Amino acid sequence: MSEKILDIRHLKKHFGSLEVLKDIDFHCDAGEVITIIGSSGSGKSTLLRCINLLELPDSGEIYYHDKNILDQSMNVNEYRTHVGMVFQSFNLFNNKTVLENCMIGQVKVLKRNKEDAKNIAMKNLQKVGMDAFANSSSTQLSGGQKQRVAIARALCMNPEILLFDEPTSALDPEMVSDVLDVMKQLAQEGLTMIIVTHEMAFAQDISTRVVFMDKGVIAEQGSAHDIFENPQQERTKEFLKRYRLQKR
Amino acid sequence: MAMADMSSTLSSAWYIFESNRAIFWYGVKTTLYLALLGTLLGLCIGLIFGGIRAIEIEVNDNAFVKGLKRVLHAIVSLYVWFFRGTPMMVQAMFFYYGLRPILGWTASIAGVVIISVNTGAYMCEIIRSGIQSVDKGQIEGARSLGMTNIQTMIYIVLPQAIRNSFPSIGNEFIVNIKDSSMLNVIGVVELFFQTTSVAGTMGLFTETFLVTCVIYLLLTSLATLILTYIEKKMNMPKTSYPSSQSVPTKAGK
Repeated sequence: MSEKILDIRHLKKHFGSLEVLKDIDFHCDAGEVITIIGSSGSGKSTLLRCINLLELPDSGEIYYHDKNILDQSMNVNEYRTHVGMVFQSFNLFNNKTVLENCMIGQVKVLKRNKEDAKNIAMKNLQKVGMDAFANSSSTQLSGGQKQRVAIARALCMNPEILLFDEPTSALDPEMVSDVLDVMKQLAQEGLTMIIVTHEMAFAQDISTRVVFMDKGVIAEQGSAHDIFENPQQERTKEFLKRYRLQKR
Repeated sequence: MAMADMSSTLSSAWYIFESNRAIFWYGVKTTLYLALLGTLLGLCIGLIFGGIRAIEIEVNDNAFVKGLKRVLHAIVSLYVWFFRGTPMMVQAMFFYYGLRPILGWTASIAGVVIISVNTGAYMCEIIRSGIQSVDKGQIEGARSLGMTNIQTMIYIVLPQAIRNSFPSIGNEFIVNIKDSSMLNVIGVVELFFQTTSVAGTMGLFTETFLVTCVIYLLLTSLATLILTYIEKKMNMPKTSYPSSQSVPTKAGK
């Protein structure tokens, strides 16, 4: 019913002799909040990085609204403005203030004028609760603050999908909830998101679909209820059991 | 005895300085002009060539882009190899006389060009390592916003690279204050050149060069002080703490 934004077919990627992604099929519809879970090295982050071409897949197709972005003729930079990315290590520009971080993409890539860019930046900073820090240097912020600014920066580009690559893994425990709250709010507003995370409670709470990856393949996917309460695959059960034990 | 020698050397040196002030001053001006211009132009060359050196050949480049990048890399390598591998004094003689029939240039213009091109080769390496010291995540952050390779370089990477390598860039300036003396071989009238002519007319080499030693030391010490000051300024955070005033009320609404 809802529109298909991304459709990934037969995606393969290897680093050296290590096959990280083995023939992945994956799709994402408008309005979905998909969390990708799995143990380290299962290929979750690589899949996410392939989606906005920070990693180039070896083979396969990635269709964005029926256009294969791996075609030589596609403008990758234009495509990336539609697919925002939030990184584990924030990657705020160290030589810029918070406000400048949120403006530079709008001004240099979307060619908005400075006044508009500033207003949009302030609106998004307010949304993540960082508007009071607009003129601070980005290097002075705490991890949780940096990540919220990074989310605002990505939102300023008006992306159709926002990708999150373990957004809370580098944060102190007390900062995690600030960032998760912002993400929940975005989900409620209907933003399409694909999230790689180790926060299981959060995944269970927020996801419209949960994807479990193991050893470079999608082992199982389904609603949060299906995956967390009633997993079918042995390895999914194994992973979740291990996870619950760790949590104790 | 030795004490008497030393004090007479000092008083002759002072006499030489007093009676040849204008000549020394002219030399100092030229030396500073060569060092400053040479460092700045060298930095420009270094930014462009160092930037080219740091551009990586990507898997999704087409054959033409790959070829172009390889050719550019080769040109830059050749340039750095030649200018770092030969003495500036030899470069000065070779290019000044070699190109004079074609360009018809004066020694002072040739001097600026040679010191710039020579510095550029070192700057190239300084900038390249500065670029490589910038966290990869900065580049990914920029690319994820849809910025092109060149935009990423200009707005994100190079400003941080310059900041990271500022001490080395400043060091090149100090080196140039001293090494510009080599340009006396093609007749650029800088401090060393002036000193030899003063020493010749006065017939007192030790005393005259003592004066010049002190002048060079003063110049390099002053430059070091200024550079340290700028470095401290650069490492200061732009604004300190968030305040309610920092939010433009109009946009905040």
